[in-house]
Amino acid sequence: MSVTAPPEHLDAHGRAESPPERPPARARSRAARSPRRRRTLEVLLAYGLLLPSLLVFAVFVFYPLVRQIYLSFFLTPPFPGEPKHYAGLSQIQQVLTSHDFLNSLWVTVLFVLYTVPAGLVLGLLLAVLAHQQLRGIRFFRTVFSSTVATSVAVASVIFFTLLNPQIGLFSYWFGRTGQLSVLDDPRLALLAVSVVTVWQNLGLAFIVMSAGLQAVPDDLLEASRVDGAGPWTRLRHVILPMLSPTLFFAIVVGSILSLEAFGQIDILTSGGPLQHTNVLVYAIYDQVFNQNNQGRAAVMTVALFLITLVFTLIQIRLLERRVTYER
Amino acid sequence: MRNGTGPSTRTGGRRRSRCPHAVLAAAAVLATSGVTALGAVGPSAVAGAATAPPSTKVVPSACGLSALAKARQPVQITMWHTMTQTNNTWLQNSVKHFNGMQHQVHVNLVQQPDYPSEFVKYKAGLTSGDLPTLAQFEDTTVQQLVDSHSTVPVQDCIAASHYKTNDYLPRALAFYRYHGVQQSMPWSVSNVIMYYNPIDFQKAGLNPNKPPQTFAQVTADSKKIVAAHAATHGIALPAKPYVFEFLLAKSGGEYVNNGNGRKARATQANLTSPTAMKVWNWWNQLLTSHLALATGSDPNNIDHLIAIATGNAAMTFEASGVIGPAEAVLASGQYPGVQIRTAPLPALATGGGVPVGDGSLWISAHASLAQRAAAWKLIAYLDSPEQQASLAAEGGYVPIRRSATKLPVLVQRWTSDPNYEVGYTQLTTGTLSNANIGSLIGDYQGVRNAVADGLEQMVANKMSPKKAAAFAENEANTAIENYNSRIGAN
Repeated sequence: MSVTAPPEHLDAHGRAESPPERPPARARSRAARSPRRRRTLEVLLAYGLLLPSLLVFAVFVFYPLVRQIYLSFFLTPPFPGEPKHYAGLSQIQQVLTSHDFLNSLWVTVLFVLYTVPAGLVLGLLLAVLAHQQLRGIRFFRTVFSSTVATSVAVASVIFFTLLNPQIGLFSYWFGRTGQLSVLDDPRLALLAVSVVTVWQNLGLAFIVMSAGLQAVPDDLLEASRVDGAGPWTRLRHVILPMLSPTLFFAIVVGSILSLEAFGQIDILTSGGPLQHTNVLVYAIYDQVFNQNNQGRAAVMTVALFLITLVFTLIQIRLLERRVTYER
Repeated sequence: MRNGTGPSTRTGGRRRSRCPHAVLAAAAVLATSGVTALGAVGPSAVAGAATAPPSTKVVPSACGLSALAKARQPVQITMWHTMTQTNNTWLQNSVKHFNGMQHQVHVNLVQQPDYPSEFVKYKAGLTSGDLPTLAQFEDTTVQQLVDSHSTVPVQDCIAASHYKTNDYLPRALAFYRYHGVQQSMPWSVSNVIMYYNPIDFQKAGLNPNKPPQTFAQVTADSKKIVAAHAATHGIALPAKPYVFEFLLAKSGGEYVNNGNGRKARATQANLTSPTAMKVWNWWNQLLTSHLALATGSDPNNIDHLIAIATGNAAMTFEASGVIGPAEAVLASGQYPGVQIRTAPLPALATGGGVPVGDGSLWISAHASLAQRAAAWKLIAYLDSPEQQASLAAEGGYVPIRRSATKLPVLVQRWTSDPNYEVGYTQLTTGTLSNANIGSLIGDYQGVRNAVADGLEQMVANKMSPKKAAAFAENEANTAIENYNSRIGAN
C-alpha cells in the first residue's frame, strides 16, 4: 500500500506541467488495480507454497479417501483383475449393522476407556512423584520414562512371554500355569492387551506430564503454600488447572493412539479370542490382508474416519472450554 | 504346522497360527539356539504371456514343451517357496544340483516368510506383475487359485509329456485335483498325527506300543493316565481348526456340502452333521471331565507340545513335520525323562483315512510358454523318487511316491527313527472318499476361523457342543456365502 502514490501527494509536489486530470486518473486506476493484483499475487504465492503439501495430501489422503468411499459401494473380488460387483448401499448397510462391526466398535470404545484414563492417571502420578527435589531422582525419571524407548512389538513380545500359560512368569504368579492363557480368555484378553498398552504408553504420558509440571510457576505454588494449602489442595486447585492444556493434549493424543492400536493386538491375540480384542483398525486390516475384501474394509474405514472425526470434534468442543492456557 | 510341516495350519488372520515357523522358531528358542531369520523377498522376472486356459479343460499345448525346445537357453525361472531351516537348506542344495545337471533351465529361488504372506504377495502380484514362474502354495488355497484363473493346470503338462503318475500316493494327487483335472503337483506334504510320551503310558500301566486308535480309547487311556498321576491331563487339545478337520475327516465326516466341495462349489458348512457332532461332543467331554488340557488358540502353536514336555499332558495332535524340532528340543536335555513317540490319529472308528496337507507346486499362467515347460521340468525333478526320499529323510515331509520309500536314504532314516514313518503310513491307509480327500472351499480361512470360534466358545465360554457347533456353522456359512457372492458364483 505504501508504495502507491496518492493523487494528493502528486498535487502537493506541484507537477504543474502535467495536465491536471491525467495523473489523478492514472493514479486512481493504478490504485484500484494494484491491490487487486497484489492480492491475486499473494493468493497465488500462498497456493504455490501450499502446493507441495496439497499434492502430498491429495495423493496420500484425499485420493485414498475418495477411493475408499467409492469402493464401499462394491463387492470386491478376492483377486485383483476379476470384476467387482456394484452393490449400492446394500453392502454398507450390511456391514454397519453386522455383528462383527458393532462388536469391533464396542471393543474399540472399551479399549479406549481401559487405556486412556489409566494411562493419564498413572502418568500424572509418576510425574508428581518424580517432581520432587530428591537425591537420585534423575534415576527414577529415567526409569519412569524408559518405556518410550521400547517399541510396541518389543513390549508385546515381552508380555506375550510373561503371560505364556506353560512357562510364563505372570501365569506362575497368578497361579494360572497350565490353564488357558489370559490372552485366550474372552473375559480377560482385552484387559491384558490394555495393560500392555498402558505400560507401553506410560513413558510418553510421564514425559508429557513432567513437562507440564515443570511449567507450573514455583511462585504460584509458593503463594498457595503461604495461604495454607496442603499437598492435596495444591494438586487439586493449583497444579491440575495449570496442567489442563497438558492433560487435554494427553487425552487427545492418548485417544488417537488407542484408536490406532494395532501392533500389540496383532502380536498378542490377532483379534481373538472370539473377536474380543478385534478393534476396528485390526478388523480393517483383517479384511484387507486376510480376507482380501477391500469393499468391506472400505465401508469400515469410512466409518472409522467419521467416528474419529466426530470424536475429535466433541473432544475439542467439550474439553477445550475447560482448558486454561494462561500462565 | 505347515511350513515345514503340516496341513494348513495356518489359521491366518485373526488367530493366525504362525504355525510351522512359529513352532520351529519357538523350538529353536527353547533349545537355546538362534531363531531363524526369515528370507527376504527378491524381485522376480515375469514375462506376460498367453492367456490362462480354463482350469477344467486340458490343453497340452498350454504347457509349452515345444516352446522350451526352441527357446534360447537356459530359460530363467523363479520359484517362490516357504521352506525354512533344514528344509530350506535342502531345497537350496537340491536346486543347485538341478541347475548344474542340465543347461536348459536355470532356477532362481525366492524364499517367502510363510504361506499367508506369500499368498498376499501373490495376489498383489496379479496387479503389479511381480509373479513367480512357479510357487509352493498351501492346501487351503486350491479353490482360490482355481477361481483366480492365474495358474496353468499341471494336467496340461502331464498330458503333454505323457507323465506317469501311478507311483504317486492317490491321496496326495487327489487333494490338488479340481473336477478331474490336476491343478498342482503335491510336493512338500504332511498330515496331522498323534504325539505321545511313552513313559507316561508306562507309568499308567498302559502299553506304550499300543497308543489309542479311537476316541473312546483316548478317553479311557486319559482316565488311567490322570488316575495314575502319570501326567496332569491325558491329552492337550489346541483349539486349532485343522486338528478338528483331520479328526472329522478320519471319522468320515464331510467338512462342507456338495461332497466336500468336490462335486460342486461348496455353499454350506457341515459342522452340525451327526459325525461332526460326535467330534464336538468328544472334545467337550474331554474338557469338562478335565481329562484334556485346553491350550487355546496359542498363536505360536507350541503350548500343547510343551505340555507333554512339562508333564501337563501325555498326548496331543500336531502336524507330522514337527517331529524334527520336537526331537531336537528333547535331545537338548532340557526335559529329562520325557520321550516323544508318534502314532496315527484316533477317530470315531478305525480304518479311516486323512487328507494330505501342506505344499504343492503351481505353475503361473503369467509365465511364458517356455517358462511353463521349464517349471514343469523342475517339478518333475523335485517330485522324483530320489528327491522325495531325500526331502523326507532330511526335512521330515511325507514322501508322495511309493518308490521313494524303497530308497536306502529313507529306509535308513525310518529304521533309525520310526517316528518319521507314521505320517506316510497314515496317508496310505483308508479308502478314498470325499470326506477324507479333503475339502475345497473358497474362503477356507473363513471356515477355519468359524471352527476356531466354535472351539473357543466351548473351551472358554463353556458353551454346549450343540450351541458351539451351530455358532461355528452359522459363521462358516456366512463366510462361504460372502466369498461366493464376491466372485459372482451365487
